[in-house]
Amino acid sequence: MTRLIGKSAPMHVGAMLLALSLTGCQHSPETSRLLGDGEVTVVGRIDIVPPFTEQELKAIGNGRAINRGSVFLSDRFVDLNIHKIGAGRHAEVVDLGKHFVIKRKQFENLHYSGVFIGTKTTPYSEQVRLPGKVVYKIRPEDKAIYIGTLRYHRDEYNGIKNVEYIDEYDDALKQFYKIQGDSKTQLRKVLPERPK
Amino acid sequence: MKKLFPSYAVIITFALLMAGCGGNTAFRKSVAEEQSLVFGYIDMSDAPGSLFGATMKRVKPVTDKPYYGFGIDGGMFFRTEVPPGSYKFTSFSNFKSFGNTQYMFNLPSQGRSEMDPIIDKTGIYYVGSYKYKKVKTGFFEQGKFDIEKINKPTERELLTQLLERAKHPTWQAAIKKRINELK
Repeated sequence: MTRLIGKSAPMHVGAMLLALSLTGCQHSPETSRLLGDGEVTVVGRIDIVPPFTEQELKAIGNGRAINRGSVFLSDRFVDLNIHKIGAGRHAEVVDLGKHFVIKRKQFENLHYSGVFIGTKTTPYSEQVRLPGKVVYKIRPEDKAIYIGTLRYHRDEYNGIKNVEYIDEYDDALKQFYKIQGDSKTQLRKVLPERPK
Repeated sequence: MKKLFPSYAVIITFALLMAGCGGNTAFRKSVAEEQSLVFGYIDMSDAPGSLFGATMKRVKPVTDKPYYGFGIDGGMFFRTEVPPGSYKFTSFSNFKSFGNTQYMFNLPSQGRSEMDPIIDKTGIYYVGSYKYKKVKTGFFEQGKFDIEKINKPTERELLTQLLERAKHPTWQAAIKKRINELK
């Protein structure tokens, strides 16, 4: 649980910013090796069942953030409960309920930490975290990978009851070629693995 | 007249707004009109300041105005006018007059906790007594806390305290009946 302090002196703000920026610079020993200098295109989809209602969406995000979430895919696991400055570099914002096509650095082990949904910082703001903690093994020759549809089933408290993996490769491939503009790049299916 | 600083004005405005959100602090209407009473207790002695507010959200059925503020009496939080549904406590707040600071304690936003009531019919719902506990963290780590269930004050003790607020005979009867059940 998090304690938020309502009032801070300017000096404290400065100290906190310094502290946060320092923690953001720490290099985790459990990071993955970069394969070359390239990028890999990741195709997948995040579904939430039941989908958020209009009222819930209003409470979670606003403007362009509505019905979108930050998918954390990087060289390391990121704790979605801790808001570290610079953590955003490990994530890419995607539309929920649609196939996404995003580019990530080509790490040997692409760590999926989950999805963070929520942008508001008011006392009545909602934040939903979809769990991850799986790894996708990337090959040096991979240009594009398909990670499937991850369907998160939630209860009324936004607790995640279970996660389903659904293979929608054909639909995802169409979306990939549409965005990519060519139909030559191979989209390799990669299954999630438990971290060692 | 002494001029108020803007920060005081904000606190006073917030306090007045919260006072209007806690349902009726005296139960003047009938039980049928005011619907369910939800109450509990949190010992914030280890936290800075004293208990100032509690907020609960209706998660089912979903509504445009899902947040419910609570009246505060010492460590007790209470409110009436709670319609049937599933609810989740979202935050507690403390106020420290020395330093003029308000503290907000956000509860986890996902999953049902022991405190979260399901109101299936009009009645009296005790959500438990708890104690705030600070969790030790590293020098530059974000502040954390936990709340643990405690045995005191009991539901009966809190209801006895609430009885003073029951101005309508139906509330007096309902609370007394519950107190007798707990003997």
